[in-house]
Amino acid sequence: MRNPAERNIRPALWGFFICLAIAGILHVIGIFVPSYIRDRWDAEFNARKSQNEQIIRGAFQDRVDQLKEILDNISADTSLVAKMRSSDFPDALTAFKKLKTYKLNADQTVDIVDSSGNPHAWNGPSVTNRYADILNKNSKEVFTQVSQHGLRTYITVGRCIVPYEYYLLVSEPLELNSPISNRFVRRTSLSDDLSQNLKVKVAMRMPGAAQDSQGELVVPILNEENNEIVRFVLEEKTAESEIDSYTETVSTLTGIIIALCSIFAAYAGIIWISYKRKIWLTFSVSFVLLWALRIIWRAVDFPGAIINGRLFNPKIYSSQFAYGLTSSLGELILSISTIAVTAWLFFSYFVLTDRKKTIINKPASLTKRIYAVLLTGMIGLLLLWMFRGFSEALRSFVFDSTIRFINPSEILLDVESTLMLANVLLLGGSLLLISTALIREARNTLFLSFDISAFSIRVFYISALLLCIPLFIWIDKTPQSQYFSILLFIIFSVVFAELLYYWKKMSIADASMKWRMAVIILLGAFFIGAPMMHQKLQQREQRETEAAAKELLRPSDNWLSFIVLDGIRTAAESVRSEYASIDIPEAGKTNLAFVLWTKTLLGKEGYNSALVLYDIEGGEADRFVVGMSNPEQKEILTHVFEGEENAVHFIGRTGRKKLGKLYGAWIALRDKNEKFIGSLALLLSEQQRNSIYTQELEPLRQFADRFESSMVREIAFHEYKNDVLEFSTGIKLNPDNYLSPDISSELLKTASPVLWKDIKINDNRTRTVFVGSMELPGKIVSISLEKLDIRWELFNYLKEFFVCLGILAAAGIYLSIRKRRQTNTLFFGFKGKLFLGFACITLLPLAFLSYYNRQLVSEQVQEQAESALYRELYQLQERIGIYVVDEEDFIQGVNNDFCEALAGEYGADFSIYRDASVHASSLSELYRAGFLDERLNGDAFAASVLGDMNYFLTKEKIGSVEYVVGYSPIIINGTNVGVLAVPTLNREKQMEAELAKRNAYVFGIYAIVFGIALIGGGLLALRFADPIRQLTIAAKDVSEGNLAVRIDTHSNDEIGILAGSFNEMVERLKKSREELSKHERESAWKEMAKQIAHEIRNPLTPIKLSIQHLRQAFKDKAADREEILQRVTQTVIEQIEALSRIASEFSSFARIPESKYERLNIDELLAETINLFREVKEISFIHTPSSPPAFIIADRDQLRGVFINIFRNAIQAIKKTGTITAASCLEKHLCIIRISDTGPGIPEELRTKIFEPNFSTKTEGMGLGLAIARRVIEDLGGTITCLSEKGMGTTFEIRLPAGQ
Amino acid sequence: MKWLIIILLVSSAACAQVKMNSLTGKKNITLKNPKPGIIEVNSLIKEIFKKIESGLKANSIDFFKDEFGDIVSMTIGPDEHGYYSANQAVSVLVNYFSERRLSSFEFSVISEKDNVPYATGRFTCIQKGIKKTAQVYVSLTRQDSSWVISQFNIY
Repeated sequence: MRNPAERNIRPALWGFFICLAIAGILHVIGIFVPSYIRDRWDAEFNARKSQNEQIIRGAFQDRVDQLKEILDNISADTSLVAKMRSSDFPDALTAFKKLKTYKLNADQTVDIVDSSGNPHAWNGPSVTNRYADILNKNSKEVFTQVSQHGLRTYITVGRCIVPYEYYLLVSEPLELNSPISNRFVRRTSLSDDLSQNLKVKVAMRMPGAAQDSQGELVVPILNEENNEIVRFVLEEKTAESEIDSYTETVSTLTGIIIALCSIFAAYAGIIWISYKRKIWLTFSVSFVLLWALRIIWRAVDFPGAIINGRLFNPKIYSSQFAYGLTSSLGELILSISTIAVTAWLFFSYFVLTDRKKTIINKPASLTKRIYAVLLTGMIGLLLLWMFRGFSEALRSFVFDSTIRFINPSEILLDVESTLMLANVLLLGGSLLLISTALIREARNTLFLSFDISAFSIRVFYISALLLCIPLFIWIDKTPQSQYFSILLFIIFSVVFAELLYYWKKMSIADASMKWRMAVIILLGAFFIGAPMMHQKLQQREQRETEAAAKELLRPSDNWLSFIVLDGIRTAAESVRSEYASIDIPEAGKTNLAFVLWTKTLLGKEGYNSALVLYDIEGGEADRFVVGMSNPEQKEILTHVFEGEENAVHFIGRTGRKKLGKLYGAWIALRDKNEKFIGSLALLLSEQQRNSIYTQELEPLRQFADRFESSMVREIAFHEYKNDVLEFSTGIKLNPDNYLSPDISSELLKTASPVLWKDIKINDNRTRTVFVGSMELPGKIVSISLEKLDIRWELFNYLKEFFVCLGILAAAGIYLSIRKRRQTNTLFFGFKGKLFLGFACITLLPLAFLSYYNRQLVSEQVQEQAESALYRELYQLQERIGIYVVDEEDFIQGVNNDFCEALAGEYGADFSIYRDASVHASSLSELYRAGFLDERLNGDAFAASVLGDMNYFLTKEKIGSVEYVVGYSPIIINGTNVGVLAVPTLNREKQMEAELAKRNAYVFGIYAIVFGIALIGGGLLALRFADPIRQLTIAAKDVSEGNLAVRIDTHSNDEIGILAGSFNEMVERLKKSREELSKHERESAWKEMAKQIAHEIRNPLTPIKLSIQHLRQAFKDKAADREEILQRVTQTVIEQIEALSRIASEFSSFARIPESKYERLNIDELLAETINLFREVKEISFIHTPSSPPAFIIADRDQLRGVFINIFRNAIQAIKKTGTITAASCLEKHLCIIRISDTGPGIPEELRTKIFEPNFSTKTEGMGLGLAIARRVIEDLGGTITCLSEKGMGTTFEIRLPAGQ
Repeated sequence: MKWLIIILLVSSAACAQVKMNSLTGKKNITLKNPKPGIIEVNSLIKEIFKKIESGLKANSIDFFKDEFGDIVSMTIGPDEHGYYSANQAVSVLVNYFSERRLSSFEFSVISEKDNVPYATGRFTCIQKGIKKTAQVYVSLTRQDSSWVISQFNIY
């Protein structure tokens, strides 16, 4: 028989060796790749060149084809194009509506233009303000063109739909002309994509651009007229860079293969060890294999090398602990999962496995008692030490991550927070498992060493554990957790340990116990871990607030100073080297200020800044500004020009409520001959607004994202000088003008001048930090964080609790599937199904209500925002109406300065369009720079200009930020002279804050209602299921033969009737059984009496005959009467002995013998029995012992008797020569013995009867041998079966429980 | 077997005391009786910058991984700005330089103005076969009477 372990290991071993071979091959390839590439590089390079050309052309053509597809779709629209072809241009509004139906992405544009390049209808941002240039360069019906406009280079595909009249153009951006990547501009770049793809630097250039450098490959792209419209320039790739690429790929593949290898090896190892059936070995080997697998995965960077997303990005989480095993969130998850499995193994070994069968009851020595006490103490300290490690781990999870755990606007946690919380639960659960196992070990040791009651043991060890707490606190100089958490942990561990005892005592089913364990462990981990995590979050916030306050105390920020200085030098150098030919006074025509700004880091990062160019006389030549108001610019410029050149100057504050410094510097501009040609000033505002459209105060850019829940609470900054309030950003949190003397004196007493206080500001509870300046005595900065009420805290806990419930649900599903596979029954019983039913019935309507409520709130908030927008549009129109009385006023008077002044008054930016182009705006520089589209949105044009809508709202995007813009026509004297546009980005934040509040308050109520419903449902399920449970237990008892069971019930419902019926049924069953039993006993006795009579009669007959013969012989005085006497005597003795045997056998059958159980080696007993029959001639014996040796617990004599009986039957069955084979083996927990003979076999009709008493095919014997054998085997908990076929021999198979 | 398991548990629990820079205290050279407003001894600051320079030249963060402060402001590449702990800062840099092979680096400017030391320099590297250059900016700040790296920008 093939060893099942071998069967199962073989595929894993195959996998292991195959993977190992592949890894070896890859390694060898890696060695030879560099020389291979170097040798063939020239040929490869040329082949690569043509391949790259094809790829580049292909990528460009793909873009063209996509645009052509859109073009074809629109051209096929007969209702639009046919009308145009019949010189009947459709109603412009219709054209706009039609174009809108074609799905474009945010960057694509469709234009219908006339032959002069004037757009008549459009959908999407404008591509150029000179479409005529595109048309003039192309004469084909369908043409492709590449053009540069503002920030971007566009590709346009066009078709002439009405010759010389109308053209349809579809465009999208190809490239960004400046190296900007900031919040205003979304980066799209075909050349970047190609660079990634080809692994070589690719740049896009227009035809006629500067000369290409040597060593570059140029790929020109031609249009339909074979004119070059754009070219791509590739940097030459070297053999070394190619080798690097290949080596990296080979290395990654090798890592993956090694990881697979390790999986196969671990799998094979675990299967092999599970067949050894030595629990300690299984545990140890599994532990080693698990951690070896984890370490190997880390070493080969698996699966980080494949996945490589946010999970494995150290910016999300990273710790230096354990040599890279926690270097990212993904690695942390893998490590903690490994810890959890290890903890489960440990727990299984110590708790779930019955390692000892007997408990030796003898009094323990003093040494053992001392050892037991010391062990308990040591375990207590060890638990606290491990808990300390757990606290430190939690600290790392919070402090070493940038995860925002608290997001008030979302109902559910985001992915990263969920994963981190799962880590906390797994780690906490592992800790509880290990601590419970250790507590049990301590408890068992005490129980064995002290002869006292279980209750006393409990009191003793719990007291010992609690006493360890103050001892540990005294030892630990850097405590990591609160005392309450430590106490909670000990309590949970003790409760769990005691519950395990109770469940075992109640003989709870294995699957049910595992489920209960999962619930307790997870809930324990949550109630210990979640509050600790919140505490760490508070500590983190504290630390960051202190850091923010210290930043505010610094005179200036060196980084901002540096980039201003670096900026002016970069700009000056650019002017000298690239733009010296441009006349500074004419700089405005070429947007030189913007161009220079994009070259500085301020432009690349998109900081709120300004660059101003001055001519030789000091007159302003050009200016580019983003995010800085005129007053701010004036303030800092004055300061800058009062100071020295090429140095950074700053002002401390920018306004009454605005926080942050202004930085500036200026530098003289010179050409290549060092001739002075002008000057340049660069300005920077430390206050960074997230959007251009908000005047809201925001925390400093440096800490903008660091405060949790900043959306729903106020964070205010204050500055004191000599205890007098100099400045505050607080609106709700605006403190008194004087600092409390208590606070200032307390601050002086602290070693580091940092003081945290819970204070009330205008009746608002806050947590405020005060930081004193070391360099400027008397200066104190404070930051107040508004305290949110308990509902927010509850809301956060509830979100986290949902994660816990989710994991529980997953565990429940897993256990359910497992149980169904093993026993084909569902995991959840009647009670569970009832409970789940209650939960679903409650949850579904609540979920529906919650969703509906959220939608309602969202709509309400949206409506409020729209109402506010309408009001603003109306108010602005009214104000414009005051100043502008006719169209000429509008054209002359409404300019950028007018808009800026009005925007400053209303606190909201806006733009005014005339004839579909921007006419004036409070953000004119953004239009000039190309950040905002100068053309009016197509939908807005259709609605406000062509249509008769007074108000129109649409969603637009700048960079990656979405916002709503409101449009309204400006009507003067009944004429529509323009369109007013007002954006609403700041209200998005208000809406989110409002939604967040509703979520927190309402969601909490829903969760409480759901919780109450769950508890109530659970109690009801218990109540309803209890009678059913009693019925189940009673039915089981009855099936096991206990007819004394009765169910107590007092209810009159259907359950009560069922219980009553059950009781009646059992009563009747009992009576029937008693009658049957009596009848059977009588029959049995009758049968036995018959048998006895028959058997006794047999020997009595020859006795009678013999004595009669003897009497006659002596009567006749026969000559051989002495001989007769001898014969008769012999016969009588024999028959008496036969009678005696009959009596013994019957006595043996009827009597229940006293058994002596001991641990027996089966093969030894078989060998003994075989030896008894070795003398039998012409029969050979084969014995195959078990490997490993098989042991059972049995009575030696009885079992020997069984074997003797079977062997004797076999010998008797073999007529002449034959073989008797005896074999034994171990299979899982059974010992199997097979005794086979080569006799004639037993016919089928007789096989079923051979174990019945009194059945025999032989002439001698009582037919009780096999009946006795079966009784003996069944008493040992085993089975005996007979396998036979006529002419093929017979095999008796005995299965007995194996004993260790 | 039981003792072996307990020993394993004790040692793993002992190792589980995560080393937090702020917990164990900075191992930097600390000043005795620092006076406010007075610029620190130049050699201390120069030593830290020297470590950073050597580390970048050798493509290894180990040279200066213990010099980071509790909160480090980092800008790596365009538009990727964040505040990280010391541990994260080390990992981010290790990650960044694992994909790039530096061929040269030197601090061109080292300044200690206004009690806020900083240094900047340019490096050249090869990334996936493409040669690139970038500027490094590092500034230090005082933390618990020692100097630590508070800002590390690559742009």
